Amino acid sequence: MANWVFKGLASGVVTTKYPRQREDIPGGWPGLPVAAGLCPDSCRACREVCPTGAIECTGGAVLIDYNRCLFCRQCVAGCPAGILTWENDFRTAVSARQGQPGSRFSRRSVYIRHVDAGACECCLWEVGALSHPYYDLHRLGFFFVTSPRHADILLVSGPVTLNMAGALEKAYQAMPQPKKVVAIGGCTCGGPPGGPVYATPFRLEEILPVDVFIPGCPPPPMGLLHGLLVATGRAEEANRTQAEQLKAARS
Amino acid sequence: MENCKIIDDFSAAWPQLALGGEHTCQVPAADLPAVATWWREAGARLADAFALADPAAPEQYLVRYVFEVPGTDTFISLQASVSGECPAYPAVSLDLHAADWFEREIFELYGILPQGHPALGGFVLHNQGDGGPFPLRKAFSRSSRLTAVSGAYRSHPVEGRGVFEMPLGPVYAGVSESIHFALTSIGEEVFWVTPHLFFKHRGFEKAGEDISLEGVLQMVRRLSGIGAVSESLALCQAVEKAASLEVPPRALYMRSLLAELERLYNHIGNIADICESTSLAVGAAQGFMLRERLLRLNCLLSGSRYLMNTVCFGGVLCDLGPDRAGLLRETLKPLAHDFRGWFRMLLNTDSFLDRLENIGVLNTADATNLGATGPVGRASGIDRDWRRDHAYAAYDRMEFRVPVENDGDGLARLKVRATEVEESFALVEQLVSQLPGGPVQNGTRPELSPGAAAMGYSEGPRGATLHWVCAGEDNRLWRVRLRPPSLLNWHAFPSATEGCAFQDFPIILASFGLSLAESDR
Repeated sequence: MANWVFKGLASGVVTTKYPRQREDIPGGWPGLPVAAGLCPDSCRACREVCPTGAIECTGGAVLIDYNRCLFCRQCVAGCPAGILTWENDFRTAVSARQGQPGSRFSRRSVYIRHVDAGACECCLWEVGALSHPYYDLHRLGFFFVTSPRHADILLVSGPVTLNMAGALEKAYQAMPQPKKVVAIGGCTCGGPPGGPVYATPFRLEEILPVDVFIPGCPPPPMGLLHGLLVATGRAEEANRTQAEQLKAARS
Repeated sequence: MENCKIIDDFSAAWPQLALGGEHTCQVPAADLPAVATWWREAGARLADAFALADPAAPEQYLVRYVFEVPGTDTFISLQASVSGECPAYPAVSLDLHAADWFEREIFELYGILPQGHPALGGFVLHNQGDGGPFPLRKAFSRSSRLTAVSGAYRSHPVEGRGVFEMPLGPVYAGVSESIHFALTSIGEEVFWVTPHLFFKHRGFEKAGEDISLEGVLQMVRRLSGIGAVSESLALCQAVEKAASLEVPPRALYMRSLLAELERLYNHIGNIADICESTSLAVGAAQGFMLRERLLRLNCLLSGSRYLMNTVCFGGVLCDLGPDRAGLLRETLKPLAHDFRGWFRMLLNTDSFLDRLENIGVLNTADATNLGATGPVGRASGIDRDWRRDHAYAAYDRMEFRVPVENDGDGLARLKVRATEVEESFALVEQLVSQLPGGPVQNGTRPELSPGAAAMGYSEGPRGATLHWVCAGEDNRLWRVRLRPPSLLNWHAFPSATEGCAFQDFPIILASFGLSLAESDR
């Protein structure tokens, strides 16, 4: 056993300094598409190439619904004017209720219960990676618990399948007040990849009150850390939310 | 293939049956069990069984049993036609146990009755009665919904004196996939485990029937995100075969390269999971660090940490320029060194090995009967690897070893994975050094003529994947059958847990390294 202790010590500290200090980790997150300025003409190339219809073009503005985005980069590759660019950022989390002051959720440790409601497993691996040496969320006072009765935050991944909906609701009911629901991943935030069918008839928002969405397919561990800090009022969300304009453009 | 002995034997034994295109054999429904038994006795292994609505007459159904023929590069499909208000055919699973779960799927999703099957219902669709609706029938539209029938959920409890059933799941343990286990025990010993799957059933086979081909590809990449390359590769190969689409040589090499990168991070992650299940905390942390380094490499090479958007129809989406090839080599060289050091330390840790040796033994007979695949099968003496046996992509030009162990215990599964990691490191080096020039994409969109059908397969980190597509109108799919590897291995899993102690259960589970996302679909 002693050799494992030495092995561990010899590896040194690999944990990220985030949120105290932001550093660039090559390969730590895929990044995301952003629109840098207004589109000069009505080309709609990005809208047509998007596999999930996550892009709306209105009056020159390109609006991206990150909840539906698969982060496949086809829009950036297909943009003739170079308006859409790929930003090296991991902060995708947004609060469901706009304009609420980010009050601190808890002064003490926060306990998380994760429920898999039909995710493809990438989200699970990224949530699992939060406990591993590179990210180590324990240093920020977050802990995973086995029982929802001990949890403050319900982390949900997957499009909410018909067979899991009951268990998910029971887990939420078992949690003590105050509690928050955080939706992670593209299928939880934007719907299942093949569209709704008999097995995935509803959305998470229809069943539980979602507080924070963390889009991404899957959201990288850094994005999840940022999202958890947003949910507990300890970090600001990135200022690129276009939810209001998107709603207006779609209606 | 035509002069193959086994085919001649089949023609002699069943002169009235003719093998058609794609080695499909039309069999009268009443003869299906006898013909299937003949193939099993000839050494063939059941790879898949599924139903579809007959494209020529949608109120009739076809059931297809697909066999993998040993010693050849061929799959044989037996196809029987069934019709009527309550279509039925004699169950094959009474003699061929590997068909058990497939027939339960056929019953619930199509309402076709495999007569004589002992345990039907309550498998894929929970809380549903036996009378339908049947979601994969064409009359059940995309917008149709199921309604829950109260009290319809069935478990098949084991009863007897002193028997105690411990329920586990679907929300259990730390961060884990949703499944329910019924652990039946007498005292300390678990004598049978019943896994209840399909909590994560997302209806992918239904969803794939009325979306564009690109939509199906996006969906199949998320069948199991950690098997994105092997699953999408199988689908792409099926569609390319059905549409006669050429794939440029460089793309074939890139596909093999991506598949090996996927195998590397999966196997190393799985070995780390085994460490975690045995409470070897530092060992697990070291393994997860190696996995994170591989995920970061994936992201730099392909733009996705899980190689999600890589394989596409007619090629691949990412290329390996000289700078990326350099990065790949520079990253993998120290990583391979660190992996070897870590694994050597694991093999020198007695307390770790004690928890794996003779634990969760899946013997060769059970593994063969239940059709175990991938590292689980190879650890139980089944010498099958579709990279070698049904070579696809660039594997026919590569040299690699297929490790086989005969013990069938947790340690054997660990060793098989570790040897495969070594082989993958060597394969990546071979692939990068032999990478031919040219484009990585065909550039044309696949055009499917109605009725075109083909099979696509690959050997992923968890075993052999088999997808089958049949084209409908408007370049959409009439039927897309997805048969991921974990479905077979989950079927074999309870045999390995027979007689285990409670505290060994998580270790056996980790050593199988199964995915629910792919088996539940």
